[in-house]
Amino acid sequence: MNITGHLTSDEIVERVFPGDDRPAAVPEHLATCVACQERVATLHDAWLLDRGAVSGAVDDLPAAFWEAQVVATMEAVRASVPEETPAADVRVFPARLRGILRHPMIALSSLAAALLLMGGLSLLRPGSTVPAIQTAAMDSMERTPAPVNDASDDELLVSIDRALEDSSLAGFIPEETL
Amino acid sequence: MNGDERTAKLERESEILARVVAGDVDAFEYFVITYQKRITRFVYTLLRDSADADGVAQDVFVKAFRALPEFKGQSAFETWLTRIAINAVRDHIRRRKPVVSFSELRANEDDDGPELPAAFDPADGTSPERDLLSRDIRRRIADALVTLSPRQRSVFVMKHYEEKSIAEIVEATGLDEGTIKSHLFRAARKLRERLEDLR
Repeated sequence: MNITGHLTSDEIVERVFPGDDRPAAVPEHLATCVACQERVATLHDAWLLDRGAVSGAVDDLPAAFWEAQVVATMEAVRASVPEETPAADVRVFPARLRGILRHPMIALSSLAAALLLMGGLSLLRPGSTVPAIQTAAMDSMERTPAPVNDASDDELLVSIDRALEDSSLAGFIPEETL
Repeated sequence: MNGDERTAKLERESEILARVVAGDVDAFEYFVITYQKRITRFVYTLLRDSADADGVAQDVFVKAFRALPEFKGQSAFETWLTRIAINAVRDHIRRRKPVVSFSELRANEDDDGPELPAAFDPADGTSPERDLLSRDIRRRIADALVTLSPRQRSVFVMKHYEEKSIAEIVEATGLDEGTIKSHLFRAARKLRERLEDLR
């Protein structure tokens, strides 16, 4: 209470918004002062007005709003499911390539044959881009140059064989394919 | 709701939760339907913007769904959901300023904020002077609320708009009783500052 005897602003606010579950003690002055009663009542009314307004603004929303909110929420919930899915469904290889993994020998044989074919073609085409593995074969040929006009097919194949034996891929290629 | 009804509800919710966690995503709709009004009202009271409240309320449910494996059932689902809502509102407030500034509203004399339901129409049995004063104070209350920190605001709204007890607020926020009372005191002080010139 201030020197005029009326309730202070803190006391008025405390009357309407108590900081505890128990009701605040009623100051003796409030029981007899109409002006203070009016101030407490006005603040109380304003608060009820605000609380009623915000509650009413939500409670009076039409059923269609709530239905739409459920639909939108559930869509978002379902959309969040794949992010939570464990890696069980993750496929590193496409389905059409998975058969290769079940028959590795066939795959490696095919790979070796393809490499030989590409290597042969690359050497016969001047100026073409040469795969790394064939660069090794060419290096090997340069170290043991054959007379240009006398290079036979046999020598070429021997050079390729030597290059493949030197390369890291040789260990992965079945012997029968070489 | 009496004790038996509450127990039955908790058991039912526990059952549905188990179904959702087991992969029945559609079963989660029960929680959305059951709590959407309560969560939307709570969020709207804090944010005072209907579009934001709708978006944040939806976000609360999605976050709850994603966090379900972490829900240990130590509190009621509603309490746990309220805690998620408080955090969602706090994040929203931090991310952006409120769309509706009550300072701006005050500048527009014709705009009194959300439309009042009939039960709270101040024209009903009060004088025009009292009506004007109430509307002015209401603006000041709302204005003071948006200046509070998200946590103070949540605590104040739970206490005075949702009429939760201190114990319930402790459970929902995870804060201790002293901190909650401190938040309430500071919120009341802000209100007092806003209402100072009304004496």
